[in-house]
Amino acid sequence: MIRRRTDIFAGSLAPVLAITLLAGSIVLGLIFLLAVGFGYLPALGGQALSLEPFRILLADERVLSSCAKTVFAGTSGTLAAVITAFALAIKLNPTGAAPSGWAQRLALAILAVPHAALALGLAFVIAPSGWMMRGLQALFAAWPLPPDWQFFPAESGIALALVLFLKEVPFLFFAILMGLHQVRPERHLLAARALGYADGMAWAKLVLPRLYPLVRFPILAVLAYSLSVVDMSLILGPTTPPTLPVLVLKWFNEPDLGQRFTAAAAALLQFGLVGGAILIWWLCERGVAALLRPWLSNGIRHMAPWLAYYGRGVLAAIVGMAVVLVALAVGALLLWSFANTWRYPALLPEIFDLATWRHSLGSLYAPLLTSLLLALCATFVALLLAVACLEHERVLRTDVIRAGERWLYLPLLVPEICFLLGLQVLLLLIGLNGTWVAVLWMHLLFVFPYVFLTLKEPWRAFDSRYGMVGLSLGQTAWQVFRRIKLPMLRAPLSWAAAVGCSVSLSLYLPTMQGGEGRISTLATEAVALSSGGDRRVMGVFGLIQTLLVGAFFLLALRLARPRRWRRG
Amino acid sequence: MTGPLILRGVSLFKDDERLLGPVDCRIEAGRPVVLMGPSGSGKSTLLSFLIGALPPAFRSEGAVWLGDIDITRRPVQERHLGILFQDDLLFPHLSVAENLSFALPAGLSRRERDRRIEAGLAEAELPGLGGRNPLSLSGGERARVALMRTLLAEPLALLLDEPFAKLDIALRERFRALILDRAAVRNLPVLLVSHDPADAEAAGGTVITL
Repeated sequence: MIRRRTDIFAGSLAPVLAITLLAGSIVLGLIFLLAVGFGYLPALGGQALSLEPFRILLADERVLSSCAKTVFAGTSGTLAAVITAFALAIKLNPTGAAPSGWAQRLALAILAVPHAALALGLAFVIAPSGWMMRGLQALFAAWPLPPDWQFFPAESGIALALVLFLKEVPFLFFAILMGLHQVRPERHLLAARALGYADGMAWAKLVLPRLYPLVRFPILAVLAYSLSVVDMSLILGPTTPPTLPVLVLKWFNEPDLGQRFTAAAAALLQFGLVGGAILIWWLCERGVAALLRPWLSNGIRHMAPWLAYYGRGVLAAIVGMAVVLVALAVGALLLWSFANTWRYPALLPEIFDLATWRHSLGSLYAPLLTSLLLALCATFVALLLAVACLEHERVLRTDVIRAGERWLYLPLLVPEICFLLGLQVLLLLIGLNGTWVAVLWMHLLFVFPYVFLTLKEPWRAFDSRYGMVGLSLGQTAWQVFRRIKLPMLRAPLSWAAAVGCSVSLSLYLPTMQGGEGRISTLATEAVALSSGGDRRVMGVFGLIQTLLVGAFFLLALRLARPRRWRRG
Repeated sequence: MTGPLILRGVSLFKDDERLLGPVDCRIEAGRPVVLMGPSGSGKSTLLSFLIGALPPAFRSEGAVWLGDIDITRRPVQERHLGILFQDDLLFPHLSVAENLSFALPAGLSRRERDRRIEAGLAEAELPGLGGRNPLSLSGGERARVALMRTLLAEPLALLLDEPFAKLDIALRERFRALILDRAAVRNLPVLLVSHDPADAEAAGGTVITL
């Protein structure tokens, strides 16, 4: 056997390490959760397996209504986001060709607003005493006092569905564009047009069936996320009772430690809920596919005129509303952070000053530094690991590694609250609870999959003959890697770094569970502030979080710029 | 010191099925060997094997000698075989001069590097283009830069994977003449892979058909 010294990462354990770290953590977390959910945790007096936690859980009258709200908010938000994202793709970029239109830039901007910050801003926009209501009051003067109703009622979960929708449309839009990039539908669309098909119909019949399988995973990840989101649900979700993941957290944080058994049982219920939702989604997908099969080749070439006519208007209205809401939410954060007094029904703050910023600086500094350090460390480790994995894969392009890849995305499908609760028990047992290392570990579970997802296609598309040329010119493998491959892949690398940092900056639950609330970041502070009610401080924290993520993306865009050449 | 490039019973297998071979040949400087075959006959894979970068999906038999040294088991960067592909594969993040500089041995003084780069550019009939972005050059110019990059690394033999295929006919003839001429000046054995009979004729050496 010829030793392949030409490949510097050959024999590296990176993929094994990555899969162990990610899948291993999740499986371990779930095992611990199972044990505690069935009453086994000797440290808390649970000596034997029992169904007692489930009995307590099911006897609680909040659980059923909580599940119903969770399912309603999660699935309606996801469904609306999926339909809108596909409609947007057909309308704006059916071939996935234009890489940097205004729509992409806008979607990216919305994507970059951290979850908690968006929820904080939106909470003000839609509150009974919020901006929308003040706008109506300014127009009609019919509500001198805030009314007792809301545009998007929080209690029914509609507000949560709305913010999920706003956050997931841009994510899915990008996933669809990436899928389109692989499908390369130009010539098929041309052929269909030559056969007399209208643009939208050609897309629906030719592109969609091939595109959907490529975006199935992002869609299911969105569904799982929407059903188990904690931070946005704490800010904008229902309260009596809250959504199931929030209820789990409540039980877990009860002073009575015995409630942790109930929390674990509820987390297992959450796991079942998400698993069931994914299963039902998949079955529906099958059903729709079977029903539409004959439609694909029935020869109808044009959409129903009413659909083409109204569809456009409805889409424009929905997207317009979404953009305006996000802009208002960020604007509200900005204004509140500089407001001294801003009472109902004033449209703008009565007095502006810097008092809030001055007061907040002291309490802002430490979480800001922690957030930054965590984001940079987690992203650096994730990049290192991802590059090592991809280099290793190039050497041994085997089915094992390909099959292993899907395990890397496990943290995006399993509800975070489930494995994080279990992992916290594990951290407690090994004495790492509340430490920096623990938080970094929890962050890596989420940062790594996104970094890997961003990096893998460009890395795999790299023409390996560049490497061969470099080697045949007498350079060592390391030099070829450092001087040719890394610089040529600079754009995706800096992009992946920005994605990693933005993911880390927005993580709430992993930071709370890993740090036991002792390590506070901008994300945890933002959520903590939301119950305090001082909108001015919320404005400062939300804005700083948004600006930080924005800065990372701008930096990445700058680093990714191609080299400038002298003319000559 | 240059010796002939020798292939001894070289066979390639994919999934235990013989893809090509056994090939035996002795390539002397000044007498290029042309390997002809339809696409899919494993020509390019053979070149990958010769430079030591056979993809893991393939298996090989036989040996490669350079002069009186067996290089079959040497890593790519220690074989000193220059290769030109169909595409120029100039590194897009480096200027023309930097691409050439990448091929020069380490440890040369800055002046010596600049001198060799200038000489290389002159030899490729591209004087003064060192600071340019490789993507701003024409296809023929890029091909010549790629040739010079390969030669500046001082290879002991030259492997050509249809390096003219993407040029139009007039350019192709000029570029082919330039390569063969430069290789002859340096006394290099040349193995050319092609499916164009005109290449075989122009090279004027032995033709092996796969």
